[in-house]
Amino acid sequence: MSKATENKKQKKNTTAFKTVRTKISNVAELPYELVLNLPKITIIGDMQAVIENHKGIIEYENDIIRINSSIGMIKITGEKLTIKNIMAEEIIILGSISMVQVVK
Amino acid sequence: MSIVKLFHYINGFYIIEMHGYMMEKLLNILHIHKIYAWDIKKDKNGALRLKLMRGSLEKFLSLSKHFKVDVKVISKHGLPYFLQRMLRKKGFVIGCMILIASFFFLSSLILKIEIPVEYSMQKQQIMTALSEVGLKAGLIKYTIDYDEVKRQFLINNPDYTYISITLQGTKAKVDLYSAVKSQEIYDYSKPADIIASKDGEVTKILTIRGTALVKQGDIVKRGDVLISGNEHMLVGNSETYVYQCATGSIMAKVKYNFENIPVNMLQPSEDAAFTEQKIILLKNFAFEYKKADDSDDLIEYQSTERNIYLFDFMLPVRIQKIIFYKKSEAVTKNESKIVDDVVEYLRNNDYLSKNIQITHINIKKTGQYMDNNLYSAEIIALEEIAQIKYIQ
Repeated sequence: MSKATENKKQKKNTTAFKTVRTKISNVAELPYELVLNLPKITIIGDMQAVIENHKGIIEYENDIIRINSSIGMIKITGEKLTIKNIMAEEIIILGSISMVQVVK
Repeated sequence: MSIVKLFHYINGFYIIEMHGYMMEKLLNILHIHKIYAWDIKKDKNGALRLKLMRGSLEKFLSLSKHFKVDVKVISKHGLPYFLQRMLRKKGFVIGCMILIASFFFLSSLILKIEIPVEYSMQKQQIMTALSEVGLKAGLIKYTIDYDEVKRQFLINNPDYTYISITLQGTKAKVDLYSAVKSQEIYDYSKPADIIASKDGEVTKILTIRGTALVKQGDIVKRGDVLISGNEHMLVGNSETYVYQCATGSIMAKVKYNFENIPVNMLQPSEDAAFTEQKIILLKNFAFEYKKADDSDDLIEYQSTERNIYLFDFMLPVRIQKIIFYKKSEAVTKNESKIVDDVVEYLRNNDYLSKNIQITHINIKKTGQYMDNNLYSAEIIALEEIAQIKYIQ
């Protein structure tokens, strides 16, 4: 079996597994971020953003922060952005937030 | 959040600045190595500034080398570093400790005794009476037995019926209640006469019980019976004499004679200018810190002395204030002023009671002593002369 076919088969399995987990989450009313390991982004006004289940900082500038996650890159733009806390589970960002974008 | 800040302060933290290309990677790896960083900011030069928990700097430095990031410790904050700095300044620390110790010591003392209302005793007398029973400024307030102080004070000073001592910080507030003076108690069941306590001329007589033996205008001598307790009474149809306790009031003109009363004949004129001299007195040492005018023709007008207190501690220093006026601005006292001065002298020196009413005064110059003239005075005063005398 060629490698391309093997990858295709693995991707198909993952998608199927994801679909199953989504269904379980729906039936059991469990939070998606726990069951599907998705990032949880909480924004308080335009002052604070809390990103849980992140996979590390890619870029940090005063006006832009890019954070890696399981669904792609989360891009936060704004002014005077500071990282209040960085831990394994969450990152707290303070500042004047103008946009939160998920880049796939 | 303030609890977290307090925790950071107690634990201590560094403020760190770092430059490099892989700073984000370093940030991502910190939590894996259990290095806690917070308040991460980027400045205009592209450097990252962050706070780092004390004790994790070495690990952080080794990681920064791995990621080729330059690290610079900007400052150290928190209690451990504060204590380190303090330990280097031994004099300052000792000074602070002395200050705190003296603050605690001073706050455990009674520094002031407050007696808010004027009582029959002067404030200074009350203070002396309190110090005699163990309450005075400068004592440690916890060592005083207040109940014993109150008890002893009331025993020593029967003029007071109640005393309360309230501590307000370093101040002891004392409240006193005077005893209501009862009138002199006479035993009216015993037979008694009213006699004259002084020589005089009777001006008014009021008999409540008994028989008056004198009338208005009579000259009486000390010891004469004025109202007799022997009273004529009608019991049924028969007349009888009953000896009872005489009661009444007798006012009389009483004559007093005094000799050698000194009176200064000069006084400042109405527009006289006064000059002051102030002297600090310390036992036998005197220091004049405010001099009077140097002219020789000054006359002393008034001299007062006052003690200096630090809270309620009486310092061994007194300040004497003497007021002078110029001899050229002195005028001779007139007759009425001399009379006033004579009466004032007699009353101030307790030769004459302050309660009696003077009806007539006649003064006569009898001599001179230094700058003062000496006078004799004949005074007629109106006063109560009734005195009870029990019949044995």
